[in-house]
Amino acid sequence: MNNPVNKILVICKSDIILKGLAEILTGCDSDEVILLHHPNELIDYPNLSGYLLLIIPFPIFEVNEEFLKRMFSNARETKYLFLNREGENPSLKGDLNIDDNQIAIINRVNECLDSYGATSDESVVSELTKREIDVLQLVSKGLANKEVADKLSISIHTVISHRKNIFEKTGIKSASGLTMYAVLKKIIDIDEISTSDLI
Amino acid sequence: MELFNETNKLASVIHKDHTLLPVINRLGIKLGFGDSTIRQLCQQNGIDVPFFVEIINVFRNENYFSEKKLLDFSVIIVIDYLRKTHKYYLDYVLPEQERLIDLFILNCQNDCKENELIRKFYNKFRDEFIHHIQFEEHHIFPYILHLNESVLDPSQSDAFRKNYEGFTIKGFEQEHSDMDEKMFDLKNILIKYLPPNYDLNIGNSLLASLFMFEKDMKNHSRIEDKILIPKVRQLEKIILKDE
Repeated sequence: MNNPVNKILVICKSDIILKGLAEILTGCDSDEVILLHHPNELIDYPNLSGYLLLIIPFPIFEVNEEFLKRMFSNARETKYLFLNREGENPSLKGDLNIDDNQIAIINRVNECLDSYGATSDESVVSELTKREIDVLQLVSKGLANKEVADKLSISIHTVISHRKNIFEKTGIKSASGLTMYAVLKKIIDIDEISTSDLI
Repeated sequence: MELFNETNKLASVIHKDHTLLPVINRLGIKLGFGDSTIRQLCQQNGIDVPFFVEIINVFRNENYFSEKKLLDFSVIIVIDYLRKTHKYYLDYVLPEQERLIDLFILNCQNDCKENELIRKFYNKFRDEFIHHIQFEEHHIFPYILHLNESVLDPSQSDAFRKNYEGFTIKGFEQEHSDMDEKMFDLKNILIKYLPPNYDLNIGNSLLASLFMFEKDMKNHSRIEDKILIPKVRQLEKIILKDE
């Protein structure tokens, strides 16, 4: 898995399915599992961000598509798995068969989670690009986005987008965490920086 | 996940989930409770039974929140619990983690300059965390307790309003997210990027302690955000209505 911030949302009115899935999903590579009885409860989760995987019954709830779009507008990518049963809705694409055993369900969900942000060459996804390393070097020395942009002769938007990618690849959220990462990965030399200021 | 109730024997509760030990300590229970049920132990120790049951269920199950029940509790009892939690962090968890980090660095082979960074990073987190705790202890909790007193005894409400003119809990609400981020980063960096020249067992103890602490901290924030703050908003409405 190349991204640490993904969330699974299960929306289903059946407690048996919710609780059963919650138990099984503890075996998946997700950071958070949110259980809801109805899409309206999404109101309690504003600003859902990162990669979202929705597990919902088929046919889908009577729900306003605009509403869902608005709720997931901060998400980087949203995918759906439809709960299905053997023999029902045979033509359903992207389904999760609830008659499958635990391991098959976990594999199915992990497969989905793994496919987020995938590129043609998956092995390099978690490695930083040359440019991202340039940005990380400067950021971890305490430079602000504007200064990084000037030094590398790129726009501030490009810096921000590199930083976003760095965060997604390393999973590190805080500025001091990034400095520590850069030192441990030998991207910067520990003697080059003032660790008491930066960490 | 199963929910506990007052008829459960506390011994079997702990057999099922020993991570509850610091929680029941804070609520006033020590080991050696024989076959007593939760209800018996609470009555013997003067602990509010429903509060005890709710707190252990909330701790054990992140998704469990029967807010209606929890909103029945007085802010006094909630703050008392939060204060004991703070004391547990300050008196035990933080010193213990510092001790583990010292050991971790002491036992590192060859060049340990990089592992020293872990201490620095931790110290930064710790300072921020202590600051947060002190702010709650010195500003937020006293405000809430005064608010509560003046709701119970309206003769005090004028003095209260004068004292805290313009203050509401909204202004006091703090972000837990910075500290949560740092704690997550620390764990993540240890897990993913730690150089191999460290002592295995000490590294594992340190990481286990961080995990446990993170769980406790999250639980603590949940109690503040979902019980204490909504409760305070209720009280504030009462006071403002009287104005």
